[in-house]
Amino acid sequence: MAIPAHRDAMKPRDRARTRAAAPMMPENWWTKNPRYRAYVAYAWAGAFFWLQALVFIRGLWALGTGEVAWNAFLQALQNPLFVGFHVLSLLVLLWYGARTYFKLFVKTQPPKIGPMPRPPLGVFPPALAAVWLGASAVLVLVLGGIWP
Amino acid sequence: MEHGPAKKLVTALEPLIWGPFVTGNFLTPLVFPAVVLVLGIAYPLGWLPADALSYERAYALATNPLAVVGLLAILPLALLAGSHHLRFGIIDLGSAEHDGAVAMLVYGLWQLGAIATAIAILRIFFD
Repeated sequence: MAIPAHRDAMKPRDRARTRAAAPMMPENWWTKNPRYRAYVAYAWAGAFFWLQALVFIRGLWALGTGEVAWNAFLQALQNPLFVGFHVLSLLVLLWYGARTYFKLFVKTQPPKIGPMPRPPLGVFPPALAAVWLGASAVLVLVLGGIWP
Repeated sequence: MEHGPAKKLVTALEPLIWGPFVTGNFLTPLVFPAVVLVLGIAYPLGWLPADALSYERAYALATNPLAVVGLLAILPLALLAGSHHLRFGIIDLGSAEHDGAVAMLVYGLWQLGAIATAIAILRIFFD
């Protein structure tokens, strides 16, 4: 019967003859490799989650204040700096989504989903692409006043 | 490394944070890009029908029960995912020893953001 290993199971039995320096990571470690840069950029995309959510909360607040405040909010959205921010934000969110759905999602699936065996991994990217495109299309059509 | 009470608390809460983080991680890029495209790009550039974001239409959309549930879910989840990402982004850039304080800050801001979301939505109904 397997039992959990002791946490020091891999520790050397004897003290090393020379003292080992504490492991230190160089400050610029993340600049050394494109994978590291993408990993750090993925984490810092969280800043865009925050900024974008704050814009949406501000819009809801204006909507709750009344028609004049809502129109002022819409007017502010037309500032070229705001448009530039939203273009950058859209690019970051699309990159983040593509990385989440098409690269990381398949790597994090357990062999079983509940009692059911996991579908073949190749199924996930096209299924997620369909869900992403479908949800985006519905949101654009509804919010954009095109449908219904 | 000795851990202070803040770090111990955050470590104990980690499993509770992880579930909503992953959900926010999945839902935010599903929903946000389309909203950004409409609100932040298509509207200012005049690509939408004239009354698409009129006060009456925006009010009707925001008070739809499905939209209320969606907004109450997606905005706090996006803020939590963003907070968790930023916490680990800061750790990765060399501030692991300050994790307790950083975590208290980002999750504290998340709580304020979640409360602000709820108040902003309630104001639409009661104003």
